[in-house]
Amino acid sequence: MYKTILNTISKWALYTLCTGLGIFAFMQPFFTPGIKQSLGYSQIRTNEMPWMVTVALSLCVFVIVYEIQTQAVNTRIIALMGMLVAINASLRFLEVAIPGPGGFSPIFFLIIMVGYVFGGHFGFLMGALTLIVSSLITGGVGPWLPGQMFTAGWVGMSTPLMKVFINGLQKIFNKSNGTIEVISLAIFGAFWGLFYGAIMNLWAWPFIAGPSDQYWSPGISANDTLARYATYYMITSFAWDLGRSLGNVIFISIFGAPVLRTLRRFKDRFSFTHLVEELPFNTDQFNLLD
Amino acid sequence: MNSFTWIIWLITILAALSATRNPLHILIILLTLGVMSRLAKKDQKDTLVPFSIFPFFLILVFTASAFNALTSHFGSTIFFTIPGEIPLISGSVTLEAVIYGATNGFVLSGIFFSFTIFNQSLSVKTIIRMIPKAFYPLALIISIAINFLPAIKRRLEEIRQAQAIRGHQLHHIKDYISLFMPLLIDSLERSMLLAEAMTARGFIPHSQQQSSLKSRLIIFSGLLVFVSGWLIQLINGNNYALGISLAGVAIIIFWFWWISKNIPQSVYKREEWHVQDWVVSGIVLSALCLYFVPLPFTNLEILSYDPYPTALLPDFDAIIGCASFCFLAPAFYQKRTSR
Repeated sequence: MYKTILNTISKWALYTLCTGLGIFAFMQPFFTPGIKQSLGYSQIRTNEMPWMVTVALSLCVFVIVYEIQTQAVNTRIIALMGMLVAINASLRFLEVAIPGPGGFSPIFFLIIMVGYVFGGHFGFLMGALTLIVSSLITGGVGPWLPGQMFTAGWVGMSTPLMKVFINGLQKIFNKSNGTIEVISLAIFGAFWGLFYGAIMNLWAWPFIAGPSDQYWSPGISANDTLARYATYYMITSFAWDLGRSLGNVIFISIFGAPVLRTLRRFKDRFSFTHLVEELPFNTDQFNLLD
Repeated sequence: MNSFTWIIWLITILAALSATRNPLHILIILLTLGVMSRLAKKDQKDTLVPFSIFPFFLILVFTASAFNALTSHFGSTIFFTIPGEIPLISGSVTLEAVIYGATNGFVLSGIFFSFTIFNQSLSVKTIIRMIPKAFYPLALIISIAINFLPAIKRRLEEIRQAQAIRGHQLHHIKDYISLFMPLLIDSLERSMLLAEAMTARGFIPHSQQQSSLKSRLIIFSGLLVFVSGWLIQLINGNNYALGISLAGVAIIIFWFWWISKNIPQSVYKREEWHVQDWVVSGIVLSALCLYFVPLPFTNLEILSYDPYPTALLPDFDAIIGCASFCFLAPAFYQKRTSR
């Protein structure tokens, strides 16, 4: 009992630290210039910060993936995940070969669906691994990859939160059909389509926007810095990310219901438990299932 | 050449690019990358290179210069002024902003190209093999995904033909449901068979590496040390704090290496480390030292060029400039082995 509680606490402490470090890494352009200015240290090493962010995010991704793989991975999950990642990576391959409008990308649709049906751990792996596999096959491995993996992992990991919201809506409207579910997930997809771009832009914002005194001034509040970033985002990336957001809505609206049905059916089939019958001889040597 | 030599080469290039903002020195590194990319072996079966290097370089530099010129209105050499109150855009367009943007474009191009050469030079299988043993379920998932990709493409084509025979036409996005759903169901059925085959062959994924409390504590400590170093660096700006961050990274890497030691792995053909790998690693690391170690015959200050407030011609250090050509070392080695 004591060991179980300690295990649970240590697991969640690690998840919290990794998520916190990820947020800190992405958010550092908002407070770094302020800290340096207030302490009289104004030399910004422009080229260095994106590398620190990359290292921090790589550590977070590896630690979370390691933690998940030691808890939740068995042969069925490995095989299922391999196949789903292969399907999603082939969609990314299509996206590179035939680019859609703006930041349109078909990969988030399946990450959201899988995260919603199979849970947050599975969703995180789905998001992170889709990005790494598709980068390997399209030659897109680079310092931006850990950030992409981490953010796509967040997309999958946060999807189960929608269950609470959807259950509430179904109770309010007294309906349990899939329409509410699909509409809610489409809105969720639209949100992540934009938010994914806003997060990924943070990696390069201080790098592209010039020295810190050009995107930050002494005395401005965090809200003002955020407003400056919002202006930068609206001008440079909003239209691009809108393509991704609309793509998610279209894909989830059209493919959502049948894909959810299929994934649920296979979830039931994959979650069987092998029960060993009492036999007159020792069965341990035949118990090959994990 | 050994894949770890390629990693050393990649790290040295990235470190050199992050150490300088001098456009002349960055251009020399880009020149070496251009030559390297010409000579890098392309494995077209495994890797899709999504862009040609030179046009991409021009587009990136132009975009970065234009973007910085339109959004950053600092500098004393004014070309013209954009009137009105358009947020971020209105204001003076200066030469300094163009130079700063172009330098950003050079550095970004360098990062893109070095990774492109790395991707071209190593096969996907070699990269997967480099995943630490502690992450073998992850490596297995990636391996399954990459190996099943061609099968999925073939299956998609079969489904498309079968639906076409039935008179199905693809006009709207809704019509693709009849392609996507059979593909998804078929792939999930295959994964069921694959899982059974793996189990039947005795594959046991995680019984040997349960995440223990000790493991979590060590990883947690490593992350805390890393964050502490980063915070100290942000607050004081001291370089020793970078050492603390690196110590945090080292703790985590060491722990994963330690876990990996207890995981058995069959290696059918081990990659050899040749004398040439020592030579190439030694040459590129020596060249990198000139970017960081202050020596009596080099001037490191010229590496931190800043065009603001008034653009001046950047200085040039001939010794560091010549040393940058040492990053071509893998190209000479590859050329020799291909002969």
